[in-house]
Amino acid sequence: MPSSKTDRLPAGEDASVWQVLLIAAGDALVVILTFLVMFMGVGQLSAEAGLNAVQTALMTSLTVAAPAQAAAMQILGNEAVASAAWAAGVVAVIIVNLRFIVMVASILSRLPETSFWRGLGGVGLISASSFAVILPRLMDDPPPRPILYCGLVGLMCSSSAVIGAVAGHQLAASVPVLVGASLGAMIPIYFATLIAKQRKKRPLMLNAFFGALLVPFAAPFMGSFALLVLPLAVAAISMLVDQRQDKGA
Amino acid sequence: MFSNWQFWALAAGAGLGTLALRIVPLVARDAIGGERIREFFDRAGYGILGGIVATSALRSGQGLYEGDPVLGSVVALSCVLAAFALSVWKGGTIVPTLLGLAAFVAAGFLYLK
Repeated sequence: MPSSKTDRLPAGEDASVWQVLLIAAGDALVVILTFLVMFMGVGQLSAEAGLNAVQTALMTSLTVAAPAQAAAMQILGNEAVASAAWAAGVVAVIIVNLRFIVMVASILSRLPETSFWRGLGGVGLISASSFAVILPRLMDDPPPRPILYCGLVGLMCSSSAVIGAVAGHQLAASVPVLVGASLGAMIPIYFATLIAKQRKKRPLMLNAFFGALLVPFAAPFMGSFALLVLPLAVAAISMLVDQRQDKGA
Repeated sequence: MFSNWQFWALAAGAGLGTLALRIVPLVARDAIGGERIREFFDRAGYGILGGIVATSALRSGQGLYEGDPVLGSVVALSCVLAAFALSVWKGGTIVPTLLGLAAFVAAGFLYLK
């Protein structure tokens, strides 16, 4: 988790990989623990749909999105689209994950200029949860070697998701309801405290508030698009309002 | 029943398709380099964060309180708000997270008992 310990670390490119790894591991710890349990369910679904453990690991490692994977597995079980079910599953995953474009754009705008391949190493495994860890860190207390930091957070989150998914696939493991729900609740509670770190930035707080308010109401009608479209719309409106106020002042 | 190649196609297609989505901003980086664009994506990013917090809190609460999803939603959102308020008031992330989680677990334990 973000801490003031980084104040003592060397800034910039002279920090060692180990130092960056420690910061990344501390920040991502909650997500890692939660993914280990959350992705067991994905592994179970995947086993039921007929994927083997290696296919499950491959899909999870690059996708790192439980809702998208669950949607794909659900489509595999739909007999109406049986012949082209795999293609429908791929399309479903891509649609559910369209929000990653905005998340990666937001992170990239806070990273130093770099080559395509280094950039890909930094943001190639970004998921919703790793984004939630990385963005507040980059805005509040940027780590040394930020591209490496982003890559390590993404890699650790992806690896824990793979371990959880393969364990769920192989063991058909299930955890007690209270344990599963509590680990699930850890994510929103922790992310809320990450949002609170930007409490002095009113526009960000307002956008987070409206995102929290509008997305759950719109999700039943808009599905996964709610998490993509509504925050973009609210951000655009808040920028326009601020622009008009600046002109009026 | 599906053939093995279809499962491989799904696994690889979903993974590579998602990777391609992450590459889009990387290749269009020049277009998103301006200060106002950055401000826009910061705001959109926090809107997404707020959306993730609310939807995942509702899901957790409703999952635990299967017989009474409204109560589950209220409990989960209350715990999230309490952790947020504590973090705003006192700062930090670990203690507010642990206290919010303890409240959620205690409420869930009482409900299941």
